[in-house]
Amino acid sequence: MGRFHRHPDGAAHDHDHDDNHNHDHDVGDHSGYRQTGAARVMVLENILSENDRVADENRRDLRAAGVRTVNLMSSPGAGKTTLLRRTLVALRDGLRIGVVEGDIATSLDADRLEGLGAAVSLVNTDAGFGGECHLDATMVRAGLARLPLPELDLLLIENVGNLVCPAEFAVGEDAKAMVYAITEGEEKPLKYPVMFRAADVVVVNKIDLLPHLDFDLPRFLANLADVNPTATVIQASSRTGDGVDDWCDWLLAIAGQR
Amino acid sequence: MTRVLVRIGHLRQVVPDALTFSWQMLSTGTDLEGSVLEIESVPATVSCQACGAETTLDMPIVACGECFSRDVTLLTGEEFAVVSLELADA
Repeated sequence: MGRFHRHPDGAAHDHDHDDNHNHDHDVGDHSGYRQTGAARVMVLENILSENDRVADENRRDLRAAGVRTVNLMSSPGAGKTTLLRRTLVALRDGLRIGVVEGDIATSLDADRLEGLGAAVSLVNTDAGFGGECHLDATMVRAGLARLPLPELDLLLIENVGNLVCPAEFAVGEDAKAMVYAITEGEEKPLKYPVMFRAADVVVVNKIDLLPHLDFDLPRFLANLADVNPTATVIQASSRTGDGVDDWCDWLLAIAGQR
Repeated sequence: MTRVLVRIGHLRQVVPDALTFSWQMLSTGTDLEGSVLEIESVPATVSCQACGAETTLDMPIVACGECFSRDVTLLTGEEFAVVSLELADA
């Protein structure tokens, strides 16, 4: 290491494991730094710790009310809302379901879920046009305040359609579910590995289109296994309803009903 | 404050150039203007349960670089933390 590479208290490189990995922190990085006078304050605080703290509060409140929670994520147009409609119809006799509906703008998706027996809380992330590309724990907390939690068994959080940011923000969920449409291409698990890796279940949606596309299903499944070998995979069509039973069974297991 | 050191793992979806650019933009006109955001980048490493090797991932495929087993434990790569703040002389 270079001559200016001083860590007065040693803590800057005190990793929480005993691996001396090669962080790319070469000799030049610290030039002209830490020579005289300046005081260094060690912080070592997770940048998302405030979000994680609120997510823990959400989880505690939900658990205390006997609610199990699934964070539903996908790209825009993969079929989350259509799958949710099917889900609410299929499960409404057995489970009391709440939905937190996240969208950048409009109540269009929340409107599509009206009249299906679920309590729906819309969280718009916009300030004008545009807006946040994900739900964070604080937004979900605001959505929870408008739901009758003690009367619910299962909460489905429909995140903003986006394959990047939602994967970074815990919201208090018990499990993360991903809806992926086969129209998106086989390579997406490799291009968005963080999201695919975070998912406990991947619903491979629009499977009814398989005969009409050049989509290579075995290759997609291999790519998915490369980034997430343990994910449950459910092939489904939220348009025809194929496979929706398997998805509902997975939800029932999360809710402790199966 | 003259310098902020953050530690970011390769499995976090953070683009260092974008973060540094945003830091400069947001700090301009504040007490933080002119401060340096230093990013310590941490590679994703795994330890293999099958062969015992510790390897660095060069693809987002979570597998051993030696024997290609998927029975691996992630050692590093998910860091996302402020490590230290450096203050100017008062």
